[in-house]
Amino acid sequence: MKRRGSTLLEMLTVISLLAVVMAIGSTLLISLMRMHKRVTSDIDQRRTLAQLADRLRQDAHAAVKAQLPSTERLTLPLTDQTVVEYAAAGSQITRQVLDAGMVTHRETFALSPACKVQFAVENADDGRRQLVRCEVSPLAETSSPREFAANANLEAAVGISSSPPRPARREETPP
Amino acid sequence: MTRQLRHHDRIHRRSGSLLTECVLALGVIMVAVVLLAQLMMTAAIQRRLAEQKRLALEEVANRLERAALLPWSRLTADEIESAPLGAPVQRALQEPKLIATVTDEQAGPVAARRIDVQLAWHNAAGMAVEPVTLSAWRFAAQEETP
Repeated sequence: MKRRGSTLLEMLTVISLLAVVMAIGSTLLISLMRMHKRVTSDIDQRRTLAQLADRLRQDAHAAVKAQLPSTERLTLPLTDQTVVEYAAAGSQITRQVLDAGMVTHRETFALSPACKVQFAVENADDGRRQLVRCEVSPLAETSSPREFAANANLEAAVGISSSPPRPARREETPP
Repeated sequence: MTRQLRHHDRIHRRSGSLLTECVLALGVIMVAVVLLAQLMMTAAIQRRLAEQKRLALEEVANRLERAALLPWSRLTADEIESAPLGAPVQRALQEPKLIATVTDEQAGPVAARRIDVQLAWHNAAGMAVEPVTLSAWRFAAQEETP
C-alpha cells in the first residue's frame, strides 16, 4: 500500500487558505451590512424630507404671513382662527394645526439623529412678501462625509395662494 | 476475491488532488468576491447619484419658490439665475450650472409666464449627468396685468 505522506501539509494549506477566504468574506459581509444600513437610513431621511417640504410649502403658500418666535418655532396663520405651527426639537419636527387655540391635527417628521433643524423667515420683494426657510444641518462639522442627507435647505414662499384679507364688514343702519 | 482486491486498489489509488481542488474552489470564491465588490461599488455610486439628485431637485424647487415672490416686472431668467447656488449643492455637485427660462404665454385674459429651471452637473468621471428640470407658471395679478 503506497500512500503519500503529505496530508498534514495539504491540510495546513487548506486551512490557511480557508482562513483567508473567511476573512475576506466576513469583511465583505460587514461592509454589505453597513451599506444596507446607510442606504435604508438615506431612503428614510429622503422620504421624510420630501414629505416635510411638501407640507411646509402647502402651508406657507396658504398662509397669510409667517411669524418666527424663535429659530425652533415657526407659526403660519392661515385665517383668523386657524394656525399651523412647526416646532423643531433636535432632529424632530412637529407640525400641528390649531383651530381657535385647540389642536386639531398633529404629526411629526423624524429626521436622522445626526442633524439639527432651524427655521428662518426672509423678507422678499422690498419687505412686502416673505420666504420661509427650513435648514437641516449636521450636528457636528466633523460628521462623516458618508452620512448623506444631513444637509437640506427647504424654502417656501408665503401667501402666494392665500386669498386676500377680506375688508371688515360694516354694519349699515337704514336711514 | 479478485473483485475485492480491485475494489481495495480503487480506494487506495486516490490521486492527491486535495490542493488542486482547494485552489479551484478558491478561484470560484474569488470570482464571487470580485463580483460582490463590483456590486458594492455600483451601489455606492448610485447612492451618491441619488443624493446629488435630491440636492439638485431641492435647489431647483427653492428657485421656483423665490421666483413666485418676484414682482411681475422683475420676473426674468437673469433675475432667477442671479442668486448664488446653495452651499450643499456647491459641495456635492461637480461644475453645477443653473439655467432658467421665462416664456410669455397667454392664458385667456390673464398674462402668464412659464418658468423652467434646470440644474446640470458632472459626475466623478467628468461625464454630464441627466439634468434636473422643474417648471412652474406665474399668472399676472390684476394690478400687474399690462
